[in-house]
Amino acid sequence: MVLQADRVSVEKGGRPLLQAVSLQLQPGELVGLIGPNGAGKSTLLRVLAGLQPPTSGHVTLHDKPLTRYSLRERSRCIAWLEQGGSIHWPIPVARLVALGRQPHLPGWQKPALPDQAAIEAALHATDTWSLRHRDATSLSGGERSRVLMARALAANPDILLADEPVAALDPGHQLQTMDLLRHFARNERGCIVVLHELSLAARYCDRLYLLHRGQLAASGTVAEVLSQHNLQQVYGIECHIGCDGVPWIIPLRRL
Amino acid sequence: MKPAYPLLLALLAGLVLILFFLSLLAGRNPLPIWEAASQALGQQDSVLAIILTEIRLPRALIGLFAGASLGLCGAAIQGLLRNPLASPGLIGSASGAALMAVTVLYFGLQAISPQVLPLAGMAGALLATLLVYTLAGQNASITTLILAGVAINALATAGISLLLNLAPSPYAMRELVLWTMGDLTDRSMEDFWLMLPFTLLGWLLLLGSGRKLNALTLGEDTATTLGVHPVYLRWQIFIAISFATGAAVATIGMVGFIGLVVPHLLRPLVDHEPSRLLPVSALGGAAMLLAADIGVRLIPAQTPLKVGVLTALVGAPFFLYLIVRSRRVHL
Amino acid sequence: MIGPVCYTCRIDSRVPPPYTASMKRFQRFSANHLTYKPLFLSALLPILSLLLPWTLCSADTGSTSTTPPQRIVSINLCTDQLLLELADPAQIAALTRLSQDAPASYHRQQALNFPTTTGLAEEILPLQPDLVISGEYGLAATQALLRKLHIRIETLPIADDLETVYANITRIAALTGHPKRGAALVARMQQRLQQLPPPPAQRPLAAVYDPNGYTVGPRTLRGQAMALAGWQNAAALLGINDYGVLPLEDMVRLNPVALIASPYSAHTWSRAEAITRHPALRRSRYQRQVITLPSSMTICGGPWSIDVIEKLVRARQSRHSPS
Repeated sequence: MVLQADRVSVEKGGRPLLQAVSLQLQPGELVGLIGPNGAGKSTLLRVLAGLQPPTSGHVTLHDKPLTRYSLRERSRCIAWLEQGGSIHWPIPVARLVALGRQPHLPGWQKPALPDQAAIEAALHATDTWSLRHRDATSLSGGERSRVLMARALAANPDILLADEPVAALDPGHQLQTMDLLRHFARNERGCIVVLHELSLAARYCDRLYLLHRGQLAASGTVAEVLSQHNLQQVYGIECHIGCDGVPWIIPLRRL
Repeated sequence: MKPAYPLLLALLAGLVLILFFLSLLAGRNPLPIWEAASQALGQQDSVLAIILTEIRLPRALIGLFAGASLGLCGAAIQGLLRNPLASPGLIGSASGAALMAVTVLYFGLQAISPQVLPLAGMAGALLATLLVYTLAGQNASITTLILAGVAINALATAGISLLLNLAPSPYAMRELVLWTMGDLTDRSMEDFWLMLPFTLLGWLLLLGSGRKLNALTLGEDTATTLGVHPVYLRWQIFIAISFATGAAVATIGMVGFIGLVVPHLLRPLVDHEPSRLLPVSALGGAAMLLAADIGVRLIPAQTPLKVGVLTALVGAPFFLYLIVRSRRVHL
Repeated sequence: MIGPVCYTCRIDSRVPPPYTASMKRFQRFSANHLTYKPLFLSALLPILSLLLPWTLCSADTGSTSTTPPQRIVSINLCTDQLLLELADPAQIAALTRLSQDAPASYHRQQALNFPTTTGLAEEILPLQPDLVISGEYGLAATQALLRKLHIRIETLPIADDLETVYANITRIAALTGHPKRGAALVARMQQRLQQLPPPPAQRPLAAVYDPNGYTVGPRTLRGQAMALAGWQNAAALLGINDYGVLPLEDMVRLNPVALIASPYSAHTWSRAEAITRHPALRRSRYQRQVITLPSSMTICGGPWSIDVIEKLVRARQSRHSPS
């Protein structure tokens, strides 16, 4: 067990955002977190990243409570990719991606060869090598998503928590990113990704968790979770579900 | 063509050294510097040696360190608030420091111990900064921040005026200008030694914050996942700024615009990277204050100009330029 | 009209009631005004009434009425002093507040016996004066108001040299109906002047050094006193004729052997006062002499001005005596 959330609840201003949600991430898995808007997916991801202390329940990383890790140790293990992703200063892309190496650089150490190698690999993997000299704020939405993903990958984390990483990408880059995440997970690491694109979730994820109004509506394999019944209950839609080599789900109409 | 980072540092350091040297030369009467220096080194108490070591040298040193502090603090606060319009003056550090410094100086509290003065400056800076930050809220927009800063600055400046009015000394009221416009005239080496430890303490606290400010580029949450504790960082920077700005303002009064203009101008030269901007701003701030101080001595005037006048003459057109540029962007 | 309303009131127990500390501070300004005349003309205070060319008012020194005025109100510190010297106590209706301020008033002890005003018309009127004496620079508004109410006002010029002091003494003596007293006072002063030793061939260099580096040139009372006492004035070497600033660097360069200080308020703190203790001045080859003249003797001119000159002479002579 790499990362586990045990009956995690989060309450803010009297409103329950999450209610007793349990989740497990095994090494080598790409886990998808799906659900309608406002279901609590981002909140759950923040709790897993250690950004939001749960009102009840706890999170364990490598069989040790997350709270017993120092901020620095956590930053070496877990990389978190924000939804949307803000960049405040127009620094060059290469230096932005280099920020991902910070958890591994003690003190004033400048990025050394292994760091440079990691940065380059991340840039190549996300197809942003050609952008490395550009101002980070001058990028298009899709380019920015990929650059931020490169930053997360450059850290070489054990666990990658990505919040809607493909939302702004064109289909080609969507596939590229999902391939990347699956490749990442395969190397004895783990990845939890929040997605709205159900086809991609069906195609790439090993397991899925379906959240609905802060509660876990379903969890399990793709076939178990992405059933017509669940989609009707949770999303309120009727879908075409099929598979010819790769699974696909096409929303037909609202109920 | 942007110069490479080490080259930029070297150029700025060279500029500062040249201005330091010019500051020793500037004054009402020409000073044959080599002669004066040799006499000073020979431990003579000659006129030239005294003028060099007791009048011009402290003035140049204070200009260098205070200017560097102001530039550095400007870059730090802009990095922390992720806003290029923040400055120690805007967030109230300068006026808070001046308020406490005036309290100590004019009511004889310095008799307790000379260090009370820069400590009071530091306390005032910290208090005012916290007030502005609390008023404006955590993720304040620049508008809210400016408004909060204006309020606290107005309060502090009124307080300074009131205190000078109530002070026992009959000369106090006239010195309001010194505090609001800044003045390096006739500061002594004693003033410098008093200012130095707190200045260096502030700089020391800012050491290592550069990388954390870089991480803040991605927002506070992502920075947290990169190992930066945002609350600790905020405190680190506020306290560091209070030390450095507090000591500088307690010595020379509120010299405006250096903390705002220098980082803003130099940021493009370091590719907007906050960590690289810190030392570059320090050097730039030192250069700007030294240059302004040389300027006030060269401009012939009945009553000597205050150094803040010259920095304002640079700063105000700079603001106009910012306005024009922002209008063009929006059009 | 500038009035004490712009200062907050504090009750200061050192000052006899009903004078509040704010009034005291208020008056300090007018005293400083007298010392640093050209710089604070804009900070006029009601105590110093505006100059009306005194040729326009009843210029005949012997007034038209046969009896001398019996209810004289003085609204200027310097005219207070001369009034106390020359008039009968019964003639004086009121003096200024400053006359009871120790650093400002030479005749403070005497002044304590009289009521005071701050120079406002509303305070002057109830006293029903038959003569108001004011100084050269005072508020036009007060002057105009008093004239409109047909109250007689005489103004005296600020004394920058001994001749004007003599003229003022003579005029006050005439106004109060005691011309002989004035003549006697002037004669005594001139006699004491003649008894001064002649100035030496080599005049030692001295400088008046007030807070903020202010100094006075030859065309002031203190400047003239220095000259008569046989000193050379450093301000003159820099071309300062009346009032000006002596920059610290020039002070070090010129290296006067004596500094003349007239501290208005001891043991207060400001940057202005700090400069007189600057380390650059402490390091010097000569043991610099500091001659302290009480400010009450230098702000206004009068018979004590000769005391000032005598003190400066003694200071100069003590330099050559074996210590």
